[in-house]
Amino acid sequence: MVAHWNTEAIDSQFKVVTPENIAFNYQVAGPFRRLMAFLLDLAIRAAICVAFILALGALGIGSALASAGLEDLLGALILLSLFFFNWFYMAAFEYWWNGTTPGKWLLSLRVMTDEGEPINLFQSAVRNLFRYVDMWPMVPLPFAWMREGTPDPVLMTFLFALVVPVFNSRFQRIGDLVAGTMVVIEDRSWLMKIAKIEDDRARLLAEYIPANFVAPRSMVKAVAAYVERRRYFTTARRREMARHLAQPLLEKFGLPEDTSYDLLLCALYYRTFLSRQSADGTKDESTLLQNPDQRSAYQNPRPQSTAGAN
Amino acid sequence: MQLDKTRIAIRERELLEIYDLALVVTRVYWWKILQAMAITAIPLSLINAALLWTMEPDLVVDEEAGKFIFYMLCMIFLQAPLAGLPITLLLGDALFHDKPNWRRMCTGLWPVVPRIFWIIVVLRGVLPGMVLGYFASLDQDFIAGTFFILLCAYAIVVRAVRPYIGEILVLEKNPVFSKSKDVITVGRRSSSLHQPNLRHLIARAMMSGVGLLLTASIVMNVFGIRGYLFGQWSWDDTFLFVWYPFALWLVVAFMTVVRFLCYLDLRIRREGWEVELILRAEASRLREVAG
Repeated sequence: MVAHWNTEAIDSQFKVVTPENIAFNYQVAGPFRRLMAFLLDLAIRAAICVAFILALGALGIGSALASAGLEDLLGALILLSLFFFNWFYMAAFEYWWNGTTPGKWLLSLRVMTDEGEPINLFQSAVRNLFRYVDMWPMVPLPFAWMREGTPDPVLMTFLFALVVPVFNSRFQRIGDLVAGTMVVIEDRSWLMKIAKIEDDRARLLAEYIPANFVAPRSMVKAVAAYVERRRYFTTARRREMARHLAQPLLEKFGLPEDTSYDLLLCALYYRTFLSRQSADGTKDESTLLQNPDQRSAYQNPRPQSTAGAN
Repeated sequence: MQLDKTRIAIRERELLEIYDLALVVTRVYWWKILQAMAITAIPLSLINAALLWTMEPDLVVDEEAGKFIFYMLCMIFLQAPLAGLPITLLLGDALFHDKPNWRRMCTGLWPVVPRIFWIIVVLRGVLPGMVLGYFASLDQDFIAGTFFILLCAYAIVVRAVRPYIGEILVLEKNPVFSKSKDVITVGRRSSSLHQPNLRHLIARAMMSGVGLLLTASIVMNVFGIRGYLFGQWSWDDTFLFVWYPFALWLVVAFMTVVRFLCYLDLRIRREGWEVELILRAEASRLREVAG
């Protein structure tokens, strides 16, 4: 079962829901990223073809066949090998390398079926067979002087390759639509670790956050987003950003107004993710993340204690 | 309006992903984008046609037609930052609202007009480009032609290192001059946004070369579609004065969407804009519940 295009926000992610009702979010690759992979593969193919022809010359095979009067056979063999190489390079790599080619691999792309499964040989062959349709429509060269002396005076405009993917939610080109495949971007990044709070003052300040305060899920997310990114910003920028949430929190916790905004959010992060005592008084921090009762957390605060920090 | 519920998902993106996302954004808002483009593109096309009209009798000669194509390309390239401003406004509004509204977009825009005239029309070479383009189109005026090309080179450099001036002007609406050091002027904002990110901006500018490929593809497609539908395969006046600029404006519209998304991405990467939005949204929820 395939979910619809993400209607909440415009994005290039696509959700696939398995029959077991497990959802996977795939980052689908659009025409520009795929064009780069295609150009890389084209360069690799060109390099291999040149190397092949040079090797024939260097090994003396070319001259041996020519001296035996078999120049035509040599020409035909070279043409045939280049033809098969060019036609099957993509399909073969995609089949044996589990949906990727050297160019795709360099750009972290992988071909999968619509359902998120590995592609088979048939799908790989079909999607690459239709690659040439994506280069259409062909247009004659614009000026007469360009057309003169050119054996095949047309240009590939790649319009289908640009337009067709835009009109479907998985950025599928014609070959993908026929073969039932899509190209996704692999996420090779490491999972985000919990940010370290190295400032001891944040740990001390965490003690002053009312013990019964349970940060709602949205606040936990907001604080986590801030603490995980704060190391990239200047002190002034941290203060400017943290002020928005820290000011009402200081008021709510009854802490002094001159408490560092940045420190307070770090303290809240520490209390939520790193402290041995979780925010609801238990020692199981996972329960806090799974089922925080947001409204009651806001509406029924415990009597506040005043504390200074920084 | 919920600040953390944006219409376009905001997160860090690679440059190629931004180009792909721009296609999706263009598809979603295609009609509004065409309308926004038409606001500036139609008058500018008429002005360009008038300025280059002296070349019209000689366009049957391939060389002259080539020159016309080049001059028109340069003029539209120079005018692109000005022509793209309505699209920037549109996307800025669409980011936080389900339905973009022209009245809301234009609120508070009037004081920005003189700033746009000075910074975009004069300093970014739109007006000088028109003047030089006109003189270059006159017979054998190589000096004007040379200066015209130099102006384009200047515009390439300026737009490579200071690409988001349009976004700063119409979305952030900073003043151009201020005696107070505390006021963030356009210059200060531009420096703080662009200067620390020069490497990123140059990479982005190099990637904009894709725009040339896209231009070639779109122009040839317009040429081809016209040929297949109406059997007109010549680069006649109608094609050169109407269809060719139309194809170029389409590319300008797309590249403006790309630039807007790059601007968002830069603010996300360097200023933690998405984090600020989340924090502000959370603070406002906290205040609402607290009454």
